[in-house]
Amino acid sequence: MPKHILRLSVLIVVSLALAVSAKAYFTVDSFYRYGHYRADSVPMIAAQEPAYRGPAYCADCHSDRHGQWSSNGHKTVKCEICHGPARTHPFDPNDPDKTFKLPRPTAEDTRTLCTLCHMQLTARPLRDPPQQAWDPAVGKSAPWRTGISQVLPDEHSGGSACLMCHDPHQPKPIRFKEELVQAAQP
Amino acid sequence: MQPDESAPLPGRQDEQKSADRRRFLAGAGAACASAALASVLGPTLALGETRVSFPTPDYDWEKHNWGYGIDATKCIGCLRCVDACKNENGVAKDAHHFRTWVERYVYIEGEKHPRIDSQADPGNIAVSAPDASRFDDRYKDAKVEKAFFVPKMCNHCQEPSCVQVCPTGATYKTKDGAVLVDKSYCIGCQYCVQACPYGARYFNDVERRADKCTWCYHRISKGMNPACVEVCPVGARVFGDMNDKSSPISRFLKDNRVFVLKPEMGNKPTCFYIGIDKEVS
Amino acid sequence: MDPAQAAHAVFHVTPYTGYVYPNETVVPWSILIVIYPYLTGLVAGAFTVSSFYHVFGMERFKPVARFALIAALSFMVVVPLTLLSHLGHPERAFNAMMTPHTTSAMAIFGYVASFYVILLMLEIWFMFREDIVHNARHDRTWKRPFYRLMTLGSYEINELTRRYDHKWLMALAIIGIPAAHGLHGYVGFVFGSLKSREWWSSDLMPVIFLFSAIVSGISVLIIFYMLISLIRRVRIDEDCIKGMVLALWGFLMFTVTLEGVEFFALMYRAREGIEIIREYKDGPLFWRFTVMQIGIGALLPVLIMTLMVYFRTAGRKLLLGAFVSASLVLVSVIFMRYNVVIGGQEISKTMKGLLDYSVPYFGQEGWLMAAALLSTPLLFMYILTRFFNPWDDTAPVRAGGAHTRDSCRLGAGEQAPVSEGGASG
Repeated sequence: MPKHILRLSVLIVVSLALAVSAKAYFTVDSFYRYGHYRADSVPMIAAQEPAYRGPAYCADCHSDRHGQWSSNGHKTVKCEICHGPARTHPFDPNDPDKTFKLPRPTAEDTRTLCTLCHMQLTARPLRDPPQQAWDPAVGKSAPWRTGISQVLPDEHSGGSACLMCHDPHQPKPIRFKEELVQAAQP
Repeated sequence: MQPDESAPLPGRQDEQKSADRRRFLAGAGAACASAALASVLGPTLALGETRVSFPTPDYDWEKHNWGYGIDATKCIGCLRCVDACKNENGVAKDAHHFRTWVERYVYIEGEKHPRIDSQADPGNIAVSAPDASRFDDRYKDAKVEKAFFVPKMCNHCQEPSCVQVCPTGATYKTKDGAVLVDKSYCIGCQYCVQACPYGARYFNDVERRADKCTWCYHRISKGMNPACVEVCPVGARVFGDMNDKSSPISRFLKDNRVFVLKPEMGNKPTCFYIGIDKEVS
Repeated sequence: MDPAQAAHAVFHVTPYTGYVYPNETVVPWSILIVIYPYLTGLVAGAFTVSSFYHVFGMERFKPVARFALIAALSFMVVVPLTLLSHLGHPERAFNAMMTPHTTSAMAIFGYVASFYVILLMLEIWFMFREDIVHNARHDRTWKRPFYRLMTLGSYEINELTRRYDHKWLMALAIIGIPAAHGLHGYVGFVFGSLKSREWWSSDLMPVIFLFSAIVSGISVLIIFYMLISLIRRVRIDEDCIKGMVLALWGFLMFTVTLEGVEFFALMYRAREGIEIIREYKDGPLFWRFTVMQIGIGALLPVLIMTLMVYFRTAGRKLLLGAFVSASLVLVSVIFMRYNVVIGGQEISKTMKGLLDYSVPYFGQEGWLMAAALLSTPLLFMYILTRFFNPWDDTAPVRAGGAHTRDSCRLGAGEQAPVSEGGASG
């Protein structure tokens, strides 16, 4: 066999061997452990901190509000829907001396927040008729009202804030209370 | 290098014989090539003897089989799920990147097909605050025959197209049913974005990699609900462990006749719908 | 996400009509993925022409046979560049080689392409080995160390080495045929195997890609051969051009038929969502597909070449006709790539809406980038031809004193019986 053919063959074999060992060397440790992926990525993804903490987290400090809210029809509207995700509230993750405040909706904000659900909107299911369906709030199949009460905000309130008549934490009975407005001032 | 040849098993004589013949015939080059092939195809490593809880000490993925249910008849289109998802997972707050979104179907008298829109629609972008989503009221004066909302998200398919096409193994199906993306391994080719029949994947322009719904894996592995389920005020979204006969999803599946989206794709979604329409795809 | 970070995120929103999934408004694959199959196609097509001579022994393709391989390699070098420039994390690209997912068409493409590049380099090495040895001895310029390195330390040239070189070359050329065509058929598979898009999901896709690749490769060789001959002020071999025109004519008719069959099958099958495909066909696709890709790009050159074949055109008219036809075919093929890659993404996965994508001028996925990548092969071609002269007429006289016009063939020198065997086998 001519010299150059031999050398070429050796070169090819050596390159192949190098490629195979490079592959073995550079393959990430946890790769084939559970399948064709990096097993270590699963705990990494699972380690992310939840932003939404749930009402129980809020109840630790705001037990009065929690009690009021959880005893009426708005109990399916969780705290963080209007108040924003709690994240590390009240602590600032970057500076332990500071507090991390959640945005406090003002009276004016209620016109934006409440209408997200309560504005009359095409395709938004109407209040009746009730249907038999799984209700996670009740924990069993129950007659479930498919919709929620809907208004045309301008006709309904004439432009004033929802908070003037409705306490979001306890929407019924209607309470026309100045202190609600006061309480919502920043 | 070749575990199948080095450890002969009883009852696998044919393979052993062919392996012997191969060994006999193989020159240096052929052995090298087959070693290359074996390592390319990926060695299957034996699991450790003592089973430890994975992926976290408190959560064992072998014990769960998650499922998701969507009751479109309940959805009021408030889009709190969409905003919660974006807050929870750091999804870009624009109208073009979603892990979950809501579609509105409106049948107008005299029209053959429903009008469909979602947050990407310029009308909805116009009425949304920069950081909050909202549907506009464009059909206020139209003669609407039928209308409903349909929440959409990753279907966490049993046969996911995205996992099939991923060149690196940066996306995979976990043992408890979620389809996840390994963000530090993804090369950002977006083949998975193309392959998903449901449009559930997007390109994360900041991290420059594919992104998608994880069913809030960091929450469900801590015993919480996904953020979208957590905030839904009307119970249109149901989540739970299908291994547990009393879980919300098991009851949802038992009490309803459920559909999946685009069954003809053969992806076998684990997101189950009730109350959708023939036009929903 | 941090708003400051979000501000840095650049993405291109595509307007739409009807209903599309919101995530679809950012089109994932753009102009770089259009030129990727285009370049791969040129590789496969150029290789085809070279194998006409090297494997099938068609003498008339001899003037371009060696250049075809140089061109194929020059195009092939840029193929991974287009893909890398498109990736979100190019630095992680080797993940696909380290842990290739066997179910992924794209992962296996990496291996198929690597195999083909190595094969191509080996073939070129064997073809030019005698030149390399000659230059390693006699070259007096800065290139000499490269030539010496490329000899692998063996300056041996005799009957034995020639016989071996010829055998290897033949074997590589034969393996190269399925490899080059497999490579490009595979590119078609990358698209055709996706069930999510009706526009792509077709069994014919790999075949159509393959045949359009062959016509584009022949065309690019016609154009390059004529232009380079003009620049070098040498006579253009009319018989060679005629051969390439005949090949182009035949393959082009076949390609147009296939594209037509695929399109009509799609329209006739009329599965769910056909309304939107009809709307697309009559709308944006009318110019891009019906007029440019099929009409001006394919049917017109078929007509020109049919007339040339019928009237046995020769001389300047033949050269002009060949040049025009080849240019039109190149236009057709790039429109075909655009219509497949961008077209597939313009038809929404909902099958209820159309996107209207427009390629930006600047940025990672812009026209400028595409133009830069498309012209890079020219640079490689220039560099490669500096090292390996593919043209017969100026080939250096070898130590053996062989006649220059015969000596290039398969590197077999004056070993007439061997080269005869190569031609027939």
